[in-house]
Amino acid sequence: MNGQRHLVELQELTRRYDDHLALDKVSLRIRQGEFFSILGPSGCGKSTLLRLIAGLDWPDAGSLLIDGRDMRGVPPYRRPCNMVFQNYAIFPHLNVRDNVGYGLRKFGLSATEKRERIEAMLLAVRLGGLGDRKPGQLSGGQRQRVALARALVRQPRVLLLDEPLGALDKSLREAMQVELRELQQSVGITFVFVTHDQEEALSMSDRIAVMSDGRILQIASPVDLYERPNCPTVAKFIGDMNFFGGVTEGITASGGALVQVDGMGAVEFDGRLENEKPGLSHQVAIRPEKLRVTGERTDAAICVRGKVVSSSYWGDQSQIQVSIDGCATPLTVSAHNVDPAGAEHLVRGADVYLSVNRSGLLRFCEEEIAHGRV
Amino acid sequence: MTARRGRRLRQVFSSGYLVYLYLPIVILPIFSFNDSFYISFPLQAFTTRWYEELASDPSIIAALASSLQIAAATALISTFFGVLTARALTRYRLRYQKSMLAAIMLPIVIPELILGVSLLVALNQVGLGLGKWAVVAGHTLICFPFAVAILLSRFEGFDLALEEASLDLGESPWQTFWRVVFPLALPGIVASVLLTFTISFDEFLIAFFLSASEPTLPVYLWGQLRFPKKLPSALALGSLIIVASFIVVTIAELMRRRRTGWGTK
Repeated sequence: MNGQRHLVELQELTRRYDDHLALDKVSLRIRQGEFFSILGPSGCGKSTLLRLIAGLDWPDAGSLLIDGRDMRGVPPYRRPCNMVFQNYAIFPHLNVRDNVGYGLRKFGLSATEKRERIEAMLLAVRLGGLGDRKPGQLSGGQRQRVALARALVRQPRVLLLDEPLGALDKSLREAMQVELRELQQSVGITFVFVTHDQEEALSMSDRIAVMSDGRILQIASPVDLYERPNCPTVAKFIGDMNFFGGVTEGITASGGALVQVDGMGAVEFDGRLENEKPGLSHQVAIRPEKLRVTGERTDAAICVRGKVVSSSYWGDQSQIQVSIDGCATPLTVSAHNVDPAGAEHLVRGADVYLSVNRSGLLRFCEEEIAHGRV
Repeated sequence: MTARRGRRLRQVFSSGYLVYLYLPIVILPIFSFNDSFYISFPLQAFTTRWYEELASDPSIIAALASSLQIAAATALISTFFGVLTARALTRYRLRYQKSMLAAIMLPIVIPELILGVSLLVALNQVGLGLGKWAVVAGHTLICFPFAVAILLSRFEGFDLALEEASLDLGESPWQTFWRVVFPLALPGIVASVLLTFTISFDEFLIAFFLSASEPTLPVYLWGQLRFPKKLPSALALGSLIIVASFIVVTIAELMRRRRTGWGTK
């Protein structure tokens, strides 16, 4: 597989609306056959990015290459990409079959070829037999499939999806996530998927670009993004995160750092921050599920005593707030309820121990916090 | 009790209003079938001779023909420019948008008498002369605002994403207009054509000033009122126009209200 070829390449793409900078020198490369997600809060510029790729909007600066070809001056109807619009934009005056066949007019197909291709596509998105329906007679999920079929039937190099699952209810959305991912793998078309839903992005994508304020903060695989976020903003946007203050005490012989962490004492880290020197104050962070709650002290690398401030029981897990000495804000801990009776002990005021492995701790420079603030 | 009295009052008022509005119009068809030159009760025998007289009068047929031509031309021209204008006003954020719309709607409130006189002077000055095309020019002036008003309501709320989807699916802006915008706007376009047609067909003042030797039907009818013996056939003609106008306006309203089931939201 020619997996490492770059199909879509953005170089310092900038788009300004009046005094608002929607995209600020965005550069990224999307590989052939990849499921690539662009994740960010609303207004971060992710939809603008998609529209620039589609040619429905134009950059003020920078360049865009699709399949190695510069897209400057190429109108949307001559680009090798198709889009699934946020509200699907299904033509209300055409039935399902004509909607799906809309973009095939210039393909030089005979009437039967065209019909066969449409029917095959309808079957692929499980809309077989609904070709004569009008859009008004379709459910939300069916409309979504029509929009998908209409774009895929043209066999684009890139399929652009603008929050296509946003309008669906939760169970349908989850089913469509799986379906969309399977479809992408079976057709082998590169998907560029815009969403504000972090779980959606994590579960579907090969790689994710996290955007904020018109800039890309990090591009990484779902696991890297979650386990090794490069700044506090990314860490907070994807999942929950507990932050502590930390001060570097010294550099160890092995090239790591000894850090005094609020409420946890001295902790030795293998890696070093950029320009790390004794006295550098920075942020230390832990995901809620990396903390283990026990009634007794454990022999984990870090184990501290705390008191339960509040706890909420969610069935499969409990979300607990635990205060520890030396930390101003209580920590959020998510505990999986492995032991059927376990959650009953985690009542307000209970004394507990929190354990965490050193690998569960992350560190961020202070200035990155200022830079990456949402 | 007061609620019932209120309802009673409403009924009296509205039925009185309807009688006032439509009774004079009903008199026209009634007397058009009355076998007498004089428009007075009691009614005489039933006859269709006024209609026969009408059909055999070449000058009436000529007036009808020029009225139809003028109305058709006016309807097409004002709707064509109405489509362009309504689309520009809804599609783009223009500077001075509100003042532009006000300027477009202004002819509705300018007295037609003034328009007629000033057009008469202007056309004579320019040397274009009078006649059918002069009337079309004048009628387009007063029909255009109505066309814009109808088409604006059709183009407003038009989902821009539909056009973008068409571009995205490989169609140029021109093809997109014909495959997406035009079919969706068609009910509004038909409504606009029918309404502007009716306005032009019924219009008297401007036609009176500008038609010269090619009178439209209303102008011809006005001329006939000088001859008492022609009055019954004028009534017959009036009745026909009422029926035709009623049919056209009803169709226009039905088209305007027709929903094509859009709303992709």
